[in-house]
Amino acid sequence: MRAVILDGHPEKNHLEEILLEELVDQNWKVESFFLSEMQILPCRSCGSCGTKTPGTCILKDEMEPIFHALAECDVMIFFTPIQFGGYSATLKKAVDRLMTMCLPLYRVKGDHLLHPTRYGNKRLMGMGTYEHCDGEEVVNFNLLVERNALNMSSPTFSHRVFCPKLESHTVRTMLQEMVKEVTG
Amino acid sequence: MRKMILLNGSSRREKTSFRFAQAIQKEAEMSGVETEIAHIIDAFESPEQLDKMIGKLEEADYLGLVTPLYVDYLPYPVLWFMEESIKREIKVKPGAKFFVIAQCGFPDVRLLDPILGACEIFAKKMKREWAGGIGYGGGAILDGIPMVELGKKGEVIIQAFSMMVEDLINDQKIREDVQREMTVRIPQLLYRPLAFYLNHRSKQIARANGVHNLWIQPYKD
Repeated sequence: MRAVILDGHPEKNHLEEILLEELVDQNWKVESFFLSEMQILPCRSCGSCGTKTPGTCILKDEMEPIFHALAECDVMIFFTPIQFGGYSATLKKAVDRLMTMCLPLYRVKGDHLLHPTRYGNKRLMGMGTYEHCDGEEVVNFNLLVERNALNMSSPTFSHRVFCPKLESHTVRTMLQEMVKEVTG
Repeated sequence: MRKMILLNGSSRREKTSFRFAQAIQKEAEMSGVETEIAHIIDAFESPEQLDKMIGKLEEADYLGLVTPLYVDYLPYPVLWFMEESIKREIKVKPGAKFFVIAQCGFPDVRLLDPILGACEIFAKKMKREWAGGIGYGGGAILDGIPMVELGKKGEVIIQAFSMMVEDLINDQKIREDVQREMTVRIPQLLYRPLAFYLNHRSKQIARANGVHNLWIQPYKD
C-alpha cells in the first residue's frame, strides 16, 4: 500500500512517528507532508481545474508534489487536531485544493450525487487529536470523515480520535485497527 | 438599534452565498435591524483588515455566517477566520446570537450536517447563543442570481429568510419550518436526469473553453 499523510498540526505530533512505525512494519510506502511549513495557497473556487485546465490547478505552490503523491497513492491519511469538530484550517486549506482530483461531472451512487474521481478511488483514514476521546466534537469529526469517504468514493475508510489519556499500547492497537479497516 | 453582521464565507464575492446574504439583509432591515455584509476573504488582505472584521463581531447582536460547502465542510477561509476569532477575547453583547446558512450544489441537505455541527460548537466557544443552522441543497442551479430574479424559487427562499429573521428578533431559535421551506425536494428518480443535465452543462462550458478531454490525469507520473 502507498499512503500519503496530510498533517494539519501546528507542530510535529509524536503520534505521527508511531503511525509511521506501524505503517512501515506493514510494508507500506509512506509520504508525509507537514502542511504548516509548506507554502499552500487557498482554493479560489475559480473552476479552472474543472473545465478550463482539467485536472490542473492554476495556483503554483507547494501543492504540486502533494497532487503527484495523491495521484499515485492507495490511502489518504488526514492527520489533524480537531477544531470545532472538524479539520484544522491548515489541513482544510490543502483539502479544499483536492477538488482538482475530481471530475467536474456528477454520477449517481445509491441515493447520492457524487463527483467521479480522476485518479481512482482512494481509501481514507481520518486521525484526529483532541483533548477528549468523546463528546460532540468527536462525533462531528467522525461524521466529516465519513462524508469525505462517501464523496471521494473511498472503498474503505477509518476514523479514530486520539486523546492524551490514551496509553501508548492502546494507541498502537487503535492504529493497527485503522490499518486493518482500511486494507479491508 | 440592533445590529446584524452577515459574514460571506465564499471565496467568490457575488455568487450564491452573497445573494443569500443580500436577501437576509433586506428582510432584517425591513424589521428595523441595521445589517452589514462582510466578506471573509477581505480579512486576508492585511492584519489590520482582519482586526477590523473581528472588531465588527463585537458590535453584532446577530452574527450570521452564509457559507458554501467545500469538500464536505467549511471552506478554509471560514475555518481560518473562526480560529483567529477564538484566539482573541472578543467581547460579546448579552444575548448575542450566531446562526448559519450553509449551501451546496448537491440536492441532499444532509451533506451540510458537518458544517452545522461545527458552527454550533463555534457558537459555544464564542459564548454566543446558538440560534440554529439552515442547509440549502441545489445551490449550483441558483448560480449567483439575485433571489428577486429567480421567480417562484426565489420567493420561497425569501419567505424562509423572513421567517428566520422573525425568529431571531423574537429571541427564538430558528424554527424547523424554515428548513422545511428551504429544502429542495428532488425525488431520487430525478437524480440521473439531473446528473445528465449538469454533466451536459459542464461539457458545454469545457467545449466553449476549447477543452475536449475532461479526463486527463496531469499529476500521474
